[in-house]
Amino acid sequence: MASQADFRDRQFLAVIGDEDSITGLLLAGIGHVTPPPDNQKNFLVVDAKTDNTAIEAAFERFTNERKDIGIVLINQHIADRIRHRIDTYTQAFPTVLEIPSKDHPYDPEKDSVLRRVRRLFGE
Amino acid sequence: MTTSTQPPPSQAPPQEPPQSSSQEPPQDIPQQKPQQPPSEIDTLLAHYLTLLHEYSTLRASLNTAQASMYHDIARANFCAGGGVRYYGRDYYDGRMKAGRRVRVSLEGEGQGGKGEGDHGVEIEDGEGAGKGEEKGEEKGSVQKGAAEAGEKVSAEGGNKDGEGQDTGEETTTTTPSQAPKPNPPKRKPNPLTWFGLLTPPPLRNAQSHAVHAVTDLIPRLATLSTEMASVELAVRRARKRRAKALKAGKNRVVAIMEGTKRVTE
Repeated sequence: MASQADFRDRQFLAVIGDEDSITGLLLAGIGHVTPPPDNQKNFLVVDAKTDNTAIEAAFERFTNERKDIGIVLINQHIADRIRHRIDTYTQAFPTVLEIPSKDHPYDPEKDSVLRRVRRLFGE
Repeated sequence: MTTSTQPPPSQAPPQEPPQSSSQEPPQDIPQQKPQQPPSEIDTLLAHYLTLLHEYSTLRASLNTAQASMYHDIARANFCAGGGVRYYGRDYYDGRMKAGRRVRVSLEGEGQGGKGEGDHGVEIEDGEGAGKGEEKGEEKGSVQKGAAEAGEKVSAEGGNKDGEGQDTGEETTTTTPSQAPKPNPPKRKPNPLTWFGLLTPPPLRNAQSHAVHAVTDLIPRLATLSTEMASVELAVRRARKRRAKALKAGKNRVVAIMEGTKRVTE
């Protein structure tokens, strides 16, 4: 079991999303760039040119490698591109939340939490 | 008035027996038996459904907040001016620092009733971002003014103390310098300033929607997600225990039946 100190270190939100989602959330003041030489950002702007491997690498970095991320927000249509990773992710922290994007409204059928609900009730 | 409403004493006795008889005939004795207490699984599932309801409600609120945010960003892009073509990644600050941070707390500590997986997630305002930043600036200016006033007051107080004491002028001159100087408030830039000093109102509205989503909705959703996961785990464990108990009960019945057969033989 992780100690309280481990949870206290998790103080940033990370975002994987399209440009407008990132812009809006950065306006709220969650953006953080670690000091040099790392210069690690806590967000990834995904566009049409971004590969699935890059998204997967960012998800891996935010969920496993970095120990200062408490919540990972990801656009639902981007989560669909790495759905196998999202569905097999079972850790309590960082918590992964799927959020809607400008062009893709929220679909409860695809939400990982509601999928868990359906699984629990045997559907 | 009161006498007319009250039934006469002679009519009261005949009315009572029918009432009592109407209550007795149904004989709800089997229905009045105390119901069995809900099983552990039922209790957990009821709690789970409550969490699910809250999750769905917050989801709807988050969708609304984000839709408003996207709408305002689109409006800001439509009326972009002052050299800005598009409010996007080209203007992000490469050295940005988070003004809002996550605080994870174990809610089950010392309460006993909570499980291991119960965590509370909150967003705490740092030195300020968005509206908080503006408030922080206001506070900062107020504190600065107060600090200046405080320095004056302390200087005056020092002089007064000096006058009151017989130690001389040395103490009065040293006290202002020894007094702890209030730390100047840290000013973290508002992310709006990345896009220029005069940002359009829609962008400010977008910021307020984003702040609402980040501070009020997302942390609670994260907390609910982890809490629901822990309840799911507890339900699965309870189901396993029940299945084991049923299996053990069946085996015991079979053993008893076999024992009785042997005795009869």
